Amino acid sequence: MTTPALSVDRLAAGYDNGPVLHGVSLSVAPGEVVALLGPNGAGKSTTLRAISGLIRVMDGEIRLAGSNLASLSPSARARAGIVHVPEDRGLFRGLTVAEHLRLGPRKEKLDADAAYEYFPALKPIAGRMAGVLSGGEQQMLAMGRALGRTPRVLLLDELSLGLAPVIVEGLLPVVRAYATEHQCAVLLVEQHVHLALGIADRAYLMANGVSSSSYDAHVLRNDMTLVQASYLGGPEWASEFKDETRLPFIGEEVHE
Amino acid sequence: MTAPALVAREITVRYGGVRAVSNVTLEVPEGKIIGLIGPNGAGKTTLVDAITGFVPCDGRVEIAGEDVTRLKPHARARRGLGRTWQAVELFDDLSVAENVAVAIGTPSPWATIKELFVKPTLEKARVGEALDSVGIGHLFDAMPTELSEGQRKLVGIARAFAGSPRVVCLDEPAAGLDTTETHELGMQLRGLTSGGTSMLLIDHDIGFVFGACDHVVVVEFGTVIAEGPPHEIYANERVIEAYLGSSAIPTEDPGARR
Amino acid sequence: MQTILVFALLGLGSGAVIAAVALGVVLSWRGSGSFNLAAGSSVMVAGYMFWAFRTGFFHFKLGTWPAVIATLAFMVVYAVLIELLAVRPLRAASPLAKLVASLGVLLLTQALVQVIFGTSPLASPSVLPDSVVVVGGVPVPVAQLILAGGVSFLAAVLWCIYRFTRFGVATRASSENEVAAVLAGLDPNSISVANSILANLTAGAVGIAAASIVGISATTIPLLIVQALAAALFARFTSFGIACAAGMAIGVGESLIFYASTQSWFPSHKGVALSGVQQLVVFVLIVVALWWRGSSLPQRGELRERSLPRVPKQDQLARRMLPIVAACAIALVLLPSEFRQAVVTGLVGTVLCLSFIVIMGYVGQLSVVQLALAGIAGFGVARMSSVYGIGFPLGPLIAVAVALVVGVVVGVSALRVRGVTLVVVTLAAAVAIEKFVFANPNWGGGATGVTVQQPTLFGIKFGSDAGFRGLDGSLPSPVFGLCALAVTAALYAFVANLRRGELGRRMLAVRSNERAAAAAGVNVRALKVCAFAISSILAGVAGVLFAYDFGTVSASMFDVMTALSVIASVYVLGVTVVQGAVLAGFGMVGAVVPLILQKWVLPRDRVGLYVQLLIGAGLLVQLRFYPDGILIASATKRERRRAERLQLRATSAAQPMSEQRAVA
Repeated sequence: MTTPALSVDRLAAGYDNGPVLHGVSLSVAPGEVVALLGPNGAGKSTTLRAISGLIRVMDGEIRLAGSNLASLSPSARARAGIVHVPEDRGLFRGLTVAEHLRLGPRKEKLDADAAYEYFPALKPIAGRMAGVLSGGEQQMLAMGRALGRTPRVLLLDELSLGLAPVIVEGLLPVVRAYATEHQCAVLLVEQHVHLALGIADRAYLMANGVSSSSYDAHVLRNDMTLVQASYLGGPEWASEFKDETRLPFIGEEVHE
Repeated sequence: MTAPALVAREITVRYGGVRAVSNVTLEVPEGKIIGLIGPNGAGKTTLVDAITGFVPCDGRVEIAGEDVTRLKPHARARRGLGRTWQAVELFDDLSVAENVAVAIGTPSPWATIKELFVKPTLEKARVGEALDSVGIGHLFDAMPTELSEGQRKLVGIARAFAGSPRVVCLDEPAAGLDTTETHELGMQLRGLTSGGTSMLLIDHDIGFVFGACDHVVVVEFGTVIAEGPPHEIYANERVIEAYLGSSAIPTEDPGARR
Repeated sequence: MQTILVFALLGLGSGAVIAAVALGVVLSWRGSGSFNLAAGSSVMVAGYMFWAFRTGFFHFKLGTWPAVIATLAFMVVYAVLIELLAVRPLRAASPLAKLVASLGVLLLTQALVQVIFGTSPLASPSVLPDSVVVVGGVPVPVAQLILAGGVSFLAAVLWCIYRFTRFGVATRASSENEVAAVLAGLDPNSISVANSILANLTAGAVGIAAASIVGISATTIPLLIVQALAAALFARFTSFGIACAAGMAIGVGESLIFYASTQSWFPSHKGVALSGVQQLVVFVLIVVALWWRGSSLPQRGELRERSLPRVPKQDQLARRMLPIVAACAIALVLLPSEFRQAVVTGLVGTVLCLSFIVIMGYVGQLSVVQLALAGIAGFGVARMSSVYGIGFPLGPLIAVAVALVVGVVVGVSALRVRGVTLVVVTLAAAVAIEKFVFANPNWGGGATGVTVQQPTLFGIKFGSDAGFRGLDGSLPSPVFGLCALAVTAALYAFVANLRRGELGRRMLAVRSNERAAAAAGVNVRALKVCAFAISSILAGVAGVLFAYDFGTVSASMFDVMTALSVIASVYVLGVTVVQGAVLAGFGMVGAVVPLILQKWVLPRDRVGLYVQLLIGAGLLVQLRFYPDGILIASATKRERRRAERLQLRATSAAQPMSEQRAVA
């Protein structure tokens, strides 16, 4: 197998009050879309932030096409081809769409035409401020900007946040097509599990700052119990909890 | 019948042109825990901000029958409305005990003036009790910056409950806790209701919410999409769709499993 | 009508300088998120450097253009230097720390320039033509118009740069959301340094051109920052056009007020027009700007933010106080008069600094107005005794009450603002009070100051003219010193005690997190007003003691630069601990430390400058290496060592203890 575009090995990272990630290992090959699934607070976004260098890595390694990223600043990592679309979309309210598409370091060639090509809907609103765009338009802009930068590794955090499912269903296939076409490695954090698994090749489940081993996306698609257990805390756990401590639900018929 | 601890009637919050919360009505009866769940960005935290007075909203908020809609957050707090935050907001310059003591303090001008001249004493007994109620009595003298994220969460919860509030809004108390800690927290919250305190509980750990709550309200895109006892919500297709983005998930009814 | 036009056009000159400083403030804010109090100093530095190049101060003389180029080149170096010393080390710091750093730069450059070039204003060779054109029938110096046109042109250029260039877009992006900018591959450090160079080049160009019009002075130009901040507030720290226009308008307005003051209808006293109306207007403008343009500055999405200095607990108060109090008492009786005086001044300074500890250390509000409040009480007690014959104890009580009222009024007018914006309000208030009240012969001291009658009660003197004159039998009497010591010790204990009680706890809660404090039932507004009241009383008491200590009060004792240096020195030493107030108090001009320096170390007439230099430099060092203040840094080290010792003992002790811990 070739060197993965992105590999994370036993990563521990976090904030001032201690680590949030305790052991995350994953890899993404060029042209591959990998989903990172798990309940809120599992550390998915933190993993992406550690990869793009926004938080301190305490232990473990992050490699971009085999070379260690430890010594690179976040902006240097961005220049090296890691493109991170954060949860808040990373847009600038006071900048127009067109300005977004020419923002970047001097050496980087941001291809505005490519962005308009992927998302033609951006063209007519090129002169408008990002702050007044709708959620869907904002996300298109964020995606267009990201793809225009020809990323080697694309980190997408909660693409669907606050968007109607119809819009998300329009965005994700673009990601899939781009990855295959440009051999870009995509790491996707997404709460719409089904949509995510619909375009992903593989997935990792995360809970409490630890990642699982890798699953094939179609395996998870066909058997959702695993995902469901990670999201809902696991039915076994919930039932055990209820039996011990629960008062009767309001309006519940008490079972014999 | 006494008035419910908390009533939020037809709450609407607008940010610019966007309705973050639209027309949500919910009621927290005395001594009960009401769960508030929904996918990310559904407007849960905004709703709590509106109830506690941190964002302006349309609608009406009542605490134990008293209309508090026009009151500022601190005045609502003094009428028995406590809250915690998703990212714990402790007073990092104060010790754990002092953090809790801030919420206990009943500010009266005379007590304050008297205190300026005599050596002040901390209400150790009440502070200790509040810390013990969530099992962190041993952290009495620690500084918040020395604590783990989970411990900070618990201090925030202890502080919210310290002033013997009528109702407490808990915003993701279990995020960042591990499974055992979450389980313990659930028990502790149930224990706290025996004193008559009610709660509005937001969390992403659905198992935790279903286990701890008497009644669950589900919101998506700022509106209530379902509400009912946990076992009904657990089986509600609409809810699972909201969470996982599909309706094709086989579900189990905890009632049927027995 | 024509004369009004003349004055309006004459105001364009100083208006242009204000506008240029305002442009610098906007550039610093957008480039690095720092609130640059030293923007005016850049104009000053450029003015002095140009003068030096032109007149051969450095032993070589340049022509006009070479001197211009040399000055601008120097400004680039200066910008990079400031960036490396005061901006880059604080990238991740809170806005307040960045502001304090710029205060350090202001104090440092102002002192340094005066040490190098002397303290008297210089006449710079002019660069602009000194001919006159006739506008609307009145003669106007061409230079004023060129300057105003030039600054407007610079504003337009800056606007174009921000609007159309890649660099401008990057700066706007970075100032709006730094995290997203970093993710876009932009380097915040180079953006910051580039903007800093732009700001200093603007300041440099204006400094060169304006030097011959407004004169080069280290005392006036840096303080143009007050008007410039007002202009920048109107521009929300964002718009170059508005900042420029507002700056010019303020200059023109000041000139018109000056014209009005020559008219018969203008309020006057014994033939002298009311002074300080300009400064009062600027203060009112700032308050209006805050209410009208919104209370908060545009938010920056920062990577992380370091909080304010830590607030250690105050333990074993009596045990720690007693030896110091005893030492002061003995010193007051034994030391010769010069040192006795210095000790008294140090004690009074301590009280003043305690007011900063409360408002800045405990509540996190940086208020510049405290020294002016002290001045109000000082002038109050002086005028009441000399004009109305109200002596001790009623006079001081009324004086402190007046300071309290003014302090609370300033506090309430600043309730909607917090953090760095509060500095603008209180700075303008301090300048307005200084010029409108203290320098005003009607109710202040005018040029000469007012003498104070020493306090007596029931015929017993206990002021500095009391009967007992110490060992050397000369003035001032140690009796007053001992009274001041008693008052200082009591207030010291009070402020330390505050930290331990309910009120102090709520203050710190508000300082840490206003939202969470409100959720815990703390009335944030009432608490802030209460803190302003307490610190105003402390400042007022200090003012009364100052008046008795020196026997006269004058405007220069309470001026803004002194206030800024006191703030800086409290901050360097430790703004959250009462001990910091003591050290800062004894370091004030006229107190023990400067006296020693002056007697044995430094040239006599420069000691104030060197102390200011030291404070400015100390501030930059402290912010870089000891962000909590020097006293707290040492306390932390002690605590850590003690904790390590305890841990060592615990691990070597018996097993049950560690078991207990495990259970816990």
